[in-house]
Amino acid sequence: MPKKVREARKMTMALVGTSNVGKSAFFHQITGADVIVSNYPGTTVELVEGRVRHRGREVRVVDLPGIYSLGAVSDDELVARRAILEQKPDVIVNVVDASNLERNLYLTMQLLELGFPVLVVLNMYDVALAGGERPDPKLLSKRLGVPVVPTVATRGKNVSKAFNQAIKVAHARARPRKTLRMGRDLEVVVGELSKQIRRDLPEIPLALPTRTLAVRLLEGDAHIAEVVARVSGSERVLRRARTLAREIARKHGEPAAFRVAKERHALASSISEQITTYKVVKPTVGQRLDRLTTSTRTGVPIMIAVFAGLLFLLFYAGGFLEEVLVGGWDTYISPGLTSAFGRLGSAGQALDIGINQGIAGILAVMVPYIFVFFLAFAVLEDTGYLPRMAFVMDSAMHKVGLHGRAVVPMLGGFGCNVPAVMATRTLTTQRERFISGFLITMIPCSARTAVILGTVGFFLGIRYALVIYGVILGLIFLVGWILNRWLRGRVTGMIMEMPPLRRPMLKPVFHKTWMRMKAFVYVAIPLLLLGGLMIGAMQASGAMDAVVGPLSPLTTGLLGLPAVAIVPLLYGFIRKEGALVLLVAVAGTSQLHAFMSPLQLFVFALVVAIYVPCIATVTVLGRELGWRDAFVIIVSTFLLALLVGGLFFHLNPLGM
Amino acid sequence: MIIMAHTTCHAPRSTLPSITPSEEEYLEAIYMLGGRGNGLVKVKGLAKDLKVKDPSVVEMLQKLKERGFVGYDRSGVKLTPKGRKHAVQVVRRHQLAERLLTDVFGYRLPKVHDMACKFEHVLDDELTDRIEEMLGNPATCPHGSIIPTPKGTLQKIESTQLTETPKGEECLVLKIPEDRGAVERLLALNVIPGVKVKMLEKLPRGAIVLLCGNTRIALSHNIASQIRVRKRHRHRRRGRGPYQ
Repeated sequence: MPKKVREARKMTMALVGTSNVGKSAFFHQITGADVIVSNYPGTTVELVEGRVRHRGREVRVVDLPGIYSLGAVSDDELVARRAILEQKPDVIVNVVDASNLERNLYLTMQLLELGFPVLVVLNMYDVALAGGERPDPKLLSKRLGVPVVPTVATRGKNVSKAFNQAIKVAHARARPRKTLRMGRDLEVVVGELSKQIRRDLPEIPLALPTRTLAVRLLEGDAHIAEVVARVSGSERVLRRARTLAREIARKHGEPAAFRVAKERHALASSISEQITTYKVVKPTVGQRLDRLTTSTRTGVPIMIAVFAGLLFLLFYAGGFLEEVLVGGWDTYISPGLTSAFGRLGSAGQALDIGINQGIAGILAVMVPYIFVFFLAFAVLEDTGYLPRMAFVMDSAMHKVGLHGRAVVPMLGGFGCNVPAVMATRTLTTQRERFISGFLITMIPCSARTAVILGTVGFFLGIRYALVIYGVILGLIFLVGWILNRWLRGRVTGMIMEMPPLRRPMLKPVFHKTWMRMKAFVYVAIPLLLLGGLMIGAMQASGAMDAVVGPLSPLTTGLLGLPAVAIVPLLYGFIRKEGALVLLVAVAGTSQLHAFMSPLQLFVFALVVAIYVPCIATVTVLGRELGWRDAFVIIVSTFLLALLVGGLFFHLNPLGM
Repeated sequence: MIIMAHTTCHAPRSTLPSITPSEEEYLEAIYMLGGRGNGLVKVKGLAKDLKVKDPSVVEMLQKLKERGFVGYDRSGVKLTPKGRKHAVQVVRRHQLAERLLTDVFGYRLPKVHDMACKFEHVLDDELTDRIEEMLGNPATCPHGSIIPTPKGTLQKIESTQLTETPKGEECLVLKIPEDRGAVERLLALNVIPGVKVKMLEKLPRGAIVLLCGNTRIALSHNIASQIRVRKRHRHRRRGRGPYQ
């Protein structure tokens, strides 16, 4: 290809590595804020992509999901492998954790076998040094046969150097200079299968090096076998591979895949030891704290404390911010808008409610609570505490048909259900995704928290708000337990690495919070404004009022609420905090306790918290679980809310 | 038993009827290719494994048949109980040689098998027994296969559930669950039969935390109970094993 045409083609850089190695920190350091998130075609696995200008050329940087190996079973790993083999990046940048080389190099071995240009980023170098370990990048580079650059991505150290080096590697199309071999008895078999492959297959599928194809077939890699099977004339190769694999199994008493995995680990471990010098250091605070977070006696209390701390932060910091923002809006901007809209007649009324109150709602709920939540969540993430929470909660999660890892999306539900439901993609079976999706819709998100605090919290006291939280959490557990007994399906378990605890760093925490707020702002706020306009239009046209009469048996009879309360409840379908806003509107006063009795306020808040998810959540549920499952969830939560609300009204267990 | 220095390679090494080293190689190969049992092995397979030509194999098999070590006909070759006894001894020597190399000399897995193949030829029965004693009666070779007893039987390894290992103790993984998703993840984290792990945390009837190498892994109770392990014997070791 002529040089000019070659240069015009965009260069692609793929970032590959396990989770918790600072890959995203590295990614964001080089790409900045301009990123697009997309799904790999035909899957629910997300890829994050950014563009960087380098000497006038645009480089496409793709952050592949964090994986432990290039496996063929788990979605994430399969997508990462396909993204590499099918899209053929110009260079693979393998980000590894310098403080745990032994585990990280396992993936590196597999990446090197693919025959692509590779650069290894030896990240978290500061953590390694703090632990008394000094891996030598030059020695490592010699052993692996590819360039190695040490970095500290969270501080931006050496990141540009690594990036520039990677570009050079891509330009030079520099493939790994070494082939790392296993034990001789295995290599003999690999050699035989390679010979057969060269004889029978005119063209190697996926352009893999022959040796790599042989090893993968011996391991029983389902994806590779499938690809090879599509090549005509490959039956002999596949049969030979199976025979040789059986021989290995018989001779060594274990499946070939296990043997190969052991060899890779042994190589990883031996290389890591050879290139590292060690120094004795005192155990860090993090390490001592670590045992406390997972030990039997202290682990659970710590988790409860963290959770309670999160809730109180939400209530008080969030509440404070809400007052400031809403107060400011109501005082300085809202009156102006109302009078401006007032001149537009009934359409203006709709706009007033939609935009004016819509924005007030966003400022009252979204910004303060969600911001506080995202910030606290980012801090928890950065310290590495979340896997410990998953560990402690694992057995409780099993009782509702899930496992420890589901804790993280569910915790996210306290901020907003929408990203939480999307995060359920990381769970393996449809059963798990359904149960967690269902339970997440019952978790009180920021909007629901605002309603609870704005009604019960404000007029009855914080204790009653906590009671509502308690009732909700109890219901979540009950529903989960029932779903677990009722639904058939495979039960899986948690197999999760626990990275060491570390001090959270301000920059990554703020950066993560900012990225999430931005995503939320761009996606949720238009939806919320739209919802607000819908509400405004319905209010102005009086469409909702026609409904009050017919539905009053439900409202007053079953739930004991004033008949007009049905209006805010219906609005709550669209936006949860719409329920609070409209309640004030139909009450005609913000002194809600004059309009409703304490019991009525309690029942109202409880029903709003449980009954159907808001429209945004419904949309995501439909996309993630399918519309049939989403419909089941909507109907079930609706009925549950009626049931519980009705029970509380008629039985009045708290004597209000 | 006295071993004459200049005839080391040819002196008989076992208390059983005299047998040449090359005959031993054959018995070992037939044993291994037969799946460590009484499997039938083809001449071609044997020839390939030992890197000799078919006619040489046939010649040797005839000899072994005459001496009562194997049964050999058109369909293939099989070990007789007598032959099996010998083969098991050879395998035992090889595996203990491997253990010695990894546990004491710190050899790594990729090189261990080849080195043991050379090393085993200097071992006689007595030395082999001494090695086993010194290593504290290891149950398996570094690859995870069970080491036969001096009598030639394969000892039954009592295995327990990983969840029964007390906190703070080490154990050897013997078997992992069959579910493909779990296997893939466990392989990537090096929780493989033959690997040593340490129980760090254990919640009552709940999740556990293992230390495998330098990595801490949290496992649900249901998965951990499907992993079978054996308690490790404590013995004096100078080098690092192959998987630490």
